[in-house]
Amino acid sequence: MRAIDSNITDNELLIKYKSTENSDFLAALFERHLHLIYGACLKNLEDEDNAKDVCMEVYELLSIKLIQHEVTHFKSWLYRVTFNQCMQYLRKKNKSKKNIQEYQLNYKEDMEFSLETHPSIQKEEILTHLEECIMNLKDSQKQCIQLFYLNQLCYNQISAQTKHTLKKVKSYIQNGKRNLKICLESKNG
Amino acid sequence: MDEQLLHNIFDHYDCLSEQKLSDYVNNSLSNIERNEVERHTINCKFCSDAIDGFMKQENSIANYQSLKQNPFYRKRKTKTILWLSGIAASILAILIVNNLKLNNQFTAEGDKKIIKEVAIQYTVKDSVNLDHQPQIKKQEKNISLKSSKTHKKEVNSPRQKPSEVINKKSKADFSTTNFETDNNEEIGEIKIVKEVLETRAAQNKSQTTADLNKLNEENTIVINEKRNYFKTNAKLKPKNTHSFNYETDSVPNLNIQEINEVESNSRKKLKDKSKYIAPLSALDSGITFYENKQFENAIKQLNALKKADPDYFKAQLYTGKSHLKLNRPLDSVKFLTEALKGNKKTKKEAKSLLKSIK
Repeated sequence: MRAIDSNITDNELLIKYKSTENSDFLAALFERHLHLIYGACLKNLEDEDNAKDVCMEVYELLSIKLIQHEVTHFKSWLYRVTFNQCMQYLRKKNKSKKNIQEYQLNYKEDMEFSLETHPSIQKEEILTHLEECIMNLKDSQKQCIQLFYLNQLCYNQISAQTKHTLKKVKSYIQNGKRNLKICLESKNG
Repeated sequence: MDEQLLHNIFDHYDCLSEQKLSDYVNNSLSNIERNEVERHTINCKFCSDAIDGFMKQENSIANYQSLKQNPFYRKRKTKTILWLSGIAASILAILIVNNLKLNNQFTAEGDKKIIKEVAIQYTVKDSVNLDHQPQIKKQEKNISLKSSKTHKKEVNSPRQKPSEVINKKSKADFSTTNFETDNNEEIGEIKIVKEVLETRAAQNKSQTTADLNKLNEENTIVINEKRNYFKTNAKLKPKNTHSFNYETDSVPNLNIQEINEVESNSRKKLKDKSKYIAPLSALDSGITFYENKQFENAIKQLNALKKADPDYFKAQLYTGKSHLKLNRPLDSVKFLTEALKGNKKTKKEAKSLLKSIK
């Protein structure tokens, strides 16, 4: 087994794997994200053994698909592959439809932000309008955004301070941030 | 407002490392560090799902560590090699056992021939020199004993070349004997034994092919017997019974492997059949959970029963009862009213419980 330099980026590993088809590179790439893959599988499947099975399936799939496809955003692509594999596994296992529908509903609720996870808005442009946009937010959203970003409190602290549940705090922050983005984009034309 | 902090809203952070994730799940981060993690996860679906997943399950970090200690993605190659070498070893073992069996038969026959021929040689010598008579008897006895010993040795070392066997035999047979014969006599005996062994090796070759043919014939007989058995079974057993149909109409040319596959499939079907009665066991396990005061588990089990199930209303009753025990009367009302549609017994119990709630 070849030792792979930890400083090599994901993209470099990806290119090396594609060119050589050496599974050492794939294993290294996979190992870097295993905690995320396993965690996402745990969330979707609610069972550790099933999560392990799907992790193996994802690895098998990566070994084939990474060669076949051109992957530009590896992490978001990997998330999509993991999620799809979980769904397939649930269908294979003949889990009740209810389970899948419930998940899809949550998924829609969670998908307030696109999978291109990190928005890239010019910082200088933001600052001119940001304060104004924050002031225009709903009270609960404004409060949570301020506590979270400006006072740097964690969910637990905000929940204790505002007496909202953790889920609501998360939701207010997500919705608030989305509204801020919309507000900024409209102001910048 | 602090400008630097305002920047944080749309700042980019790297995905969570393994260490940070486990620290977050284990609650070993400071509040500011937690805030940093949460600022990333609010945007990153992958990381937030991973955190949710780890938070959902108990001992998930420990299980993840065990998964990492036993990395399947690094073992794949060695596993396949092991698997292949295992198959190769088993095939070799089968071949060796078969060879040994064949050798057993042939060496026994060959040994008899050696004894006879040596005996003839000595009787010829006997007629010339009568003084050697008692020694010859001894030699015959020794040779017969030795031949059985050498036969055992041959069994233990089946991969030896014929020439090696011959040389070893000659050494083993005559180096340790107490013969009081001349060197010339010994050489003559060795020559005789060599010749006999060589002819025996040649015979072995022809006999092994003949015996292999015999074995093949036996195998085909076994296959035919099995085929006939399935055919007759198919004729005897009517369709739409609970016994498993091997689809014998469409398998006239099955070999042993295929027949074994059919057998293993039937076993799988039997297992599947046992899974088919899962809803009943869900009710039983739900009730046992309820009786063991594991109300949350009971609710989970009882929820598995669907409306079409005959025990559905009983399950609803027990779910309502479990909710009551968990001090959730509002939830229990929903299930108990559903249980009112059940049989007399469940209806009665549900009614009384609803009254007590009111």
